[in-house]
Amino acid sequence: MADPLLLAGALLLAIAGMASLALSMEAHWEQIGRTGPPPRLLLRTLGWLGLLLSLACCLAADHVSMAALVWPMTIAAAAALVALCLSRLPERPRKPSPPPPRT
Amino acid sequence: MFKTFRLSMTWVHTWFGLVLGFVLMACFFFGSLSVYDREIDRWAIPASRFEPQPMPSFDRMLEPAFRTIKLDAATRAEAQTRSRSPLPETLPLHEWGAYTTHRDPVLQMWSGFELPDPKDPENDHAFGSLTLDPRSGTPLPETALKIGSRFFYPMHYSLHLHWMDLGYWIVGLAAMAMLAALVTGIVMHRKIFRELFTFRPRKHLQRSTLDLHNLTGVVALPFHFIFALSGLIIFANLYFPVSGTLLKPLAEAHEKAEIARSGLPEHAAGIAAPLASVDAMVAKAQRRWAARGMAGEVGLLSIHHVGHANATVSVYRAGTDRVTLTGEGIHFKGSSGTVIREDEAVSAVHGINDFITGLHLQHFRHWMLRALYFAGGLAGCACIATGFIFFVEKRKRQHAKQGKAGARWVDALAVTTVTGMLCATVAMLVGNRLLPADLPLRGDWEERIFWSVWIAALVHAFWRSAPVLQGRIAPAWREQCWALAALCTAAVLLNWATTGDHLLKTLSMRYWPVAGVDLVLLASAWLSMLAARRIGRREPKLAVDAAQGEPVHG
Amino acid sequence: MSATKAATPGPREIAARLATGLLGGWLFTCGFVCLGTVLLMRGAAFDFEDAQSLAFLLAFLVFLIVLLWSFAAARLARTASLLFGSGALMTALAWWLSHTP
Repeated sequence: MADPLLLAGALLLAIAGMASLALSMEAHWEQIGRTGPPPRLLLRTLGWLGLLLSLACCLAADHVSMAALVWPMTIAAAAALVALCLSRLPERPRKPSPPPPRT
Repeated sequence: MFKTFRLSMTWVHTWFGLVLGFVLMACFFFGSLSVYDREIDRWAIPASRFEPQPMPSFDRMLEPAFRTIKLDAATRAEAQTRSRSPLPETLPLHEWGAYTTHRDPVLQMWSGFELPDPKDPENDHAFGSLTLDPRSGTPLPETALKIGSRFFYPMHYSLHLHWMDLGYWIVGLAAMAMLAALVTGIVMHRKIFRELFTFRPRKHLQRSTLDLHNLTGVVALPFHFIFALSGLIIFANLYFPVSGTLLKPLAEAHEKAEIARSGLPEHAAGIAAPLASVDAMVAKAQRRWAARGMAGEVGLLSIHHVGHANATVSVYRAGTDRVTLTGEGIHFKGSSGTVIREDEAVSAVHGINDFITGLHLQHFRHWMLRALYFAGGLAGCACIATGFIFFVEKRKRQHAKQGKAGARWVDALAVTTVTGMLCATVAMLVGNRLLPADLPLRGDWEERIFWSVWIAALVHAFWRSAPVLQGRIAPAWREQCWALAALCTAAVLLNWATTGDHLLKTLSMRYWPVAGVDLVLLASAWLSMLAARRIGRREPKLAVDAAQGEPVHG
Repeated sequence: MSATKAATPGPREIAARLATGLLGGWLFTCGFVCLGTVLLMRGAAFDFEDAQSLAFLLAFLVFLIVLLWSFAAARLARTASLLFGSGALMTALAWWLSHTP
């Protein structure tokens, strides 16, 4: 394995990319406290850009056959991480929830 | 059978997933452990806790060690059954092999002997083996079971069920079920992209379980699919044994052509001749690899027709720098050291096959990719476990009202396969530290501990799952989580007590195999404790709401 | 199959689908592997090992497709006869071709 810095970069870029893609969805955009629709085109472009730059880092770090495995696994880990972080935020508020049942 | 395509695929996903899920848990869990199988070996065999070494000198160290290899009693008895006349004291030598990887401090050596009078001429070999410390040339005791590479690793593809290769077939069926479950899961999951990042742990159990099931399944979908598929491809010859049966003439013709082309003799010459310096051959091989831009260490050294005039020495490269299983084997004439042949580049199909196999077997050196593989495997376990929990949650209230016990049995089996299997695994490590060092058949006792703890977990799970009949959570989950936490902690403490290699020491020495196992054990203890407490808090709450017939929010 | 059929299939139907999918599927895939290997050797000048390897690479995807088809198909009898029938046919054809020069 070569250059841990490149691989760390690949992971960080993947996380940034996945976070951007997640925030381009209304449900998650509202989770971070924003109102109104998310800037979808911008966030999606940034998201895919992050993922592509992550791929570039992987290709620079290793033999192409190795990078072909490292990159999908890295973006999968990034997606899982973003999902777990989002799960700690309050859920998107919809209509006001019904009062709890009285026992 | 079903009104729509989607309904039929849902049925396949539910029932193939449920029935084969129990087997798949074992495959994924022990497969994940197999990523670090040799590190687990280091933990289990303290005498092997040193840094990996390159292949030592054959002439000075390996040859005398090879000559000490004999058949053990069990192998000799088995070989006798394949022989028409009684076996002589020393059998004629056929081949020697030595194998090492970049993660193995110790060297694996074996000696192949020929049966002089076999019943079946195609099945006339018997093997003795030796594990060597390459720093000193002294052998390690063969009774020390390599828990990682010789127990956990074969468990994941054979379930240690060798009668008629039954374990391999069950795992194969489970792998097909995994592929089916992934494809049918996609068909079922309508909002696959929109809900990619959705995980709502504060919703009621059924919803949050389904969220986690979808997350772990979708995020690592290519990983799960390709690992199941590559595993099947690796054993394709077993599942479709056509080369020995239907297509036998084609296979045999091909084999004959290969032997003729390779220039490597099939049978011993019968004339004695000494072996030239193997070290010189190894050095020549390494120079040739470097000249091709593929410098590397020796992974496998193999000598055929030992002691005969037409002996051959084959030197293979340890392919740690790429995914594809490569060998770049160079073959020498044993008596003179001249090169007979270098392995040429393989065909495209062969290359694809080697890549897919290499991707699964992971001989490469890349700690980050391995760590991601481990995480991926555990994600697969989480996917299957949440699948079980969702199945039970969805049906248990309904079954409770109808007086059916289906949900209870599934829940008990789920406990057995999730927490029970984990308890058995860690109990084996605890046993490894507790059993006396010179106990004969120590490895067999460690295996017995594993299986008996698992059976005990099964009995406990079935006994302590009655509340599911009223639509509540079985206390078995919480109790086994506590047991697991205790076992993990015990294993780390026992490692310290019996070997002195406590975490602060191994971390400061940066001896990652042992430090890593201890850290994972401690993390597991902490997570099990968290889980036990959280389940314990939910148990009465869900009981109250179950009585009212309402799913819980929060 | 009428539209008023019950939602959960009976055990006999399940057994029939499983047999078709697993046994029929395995037989069909076996035939695919054998015939595929022989045809690649004869038609595309592959050597035995390469031909068999390529057949193996595709085999499990083929098995997956016919397995799912056995559960999705409206008329099981048609699927079953196709899988068992063509499986046997491909296997026999491959055997014959491999034993004749």
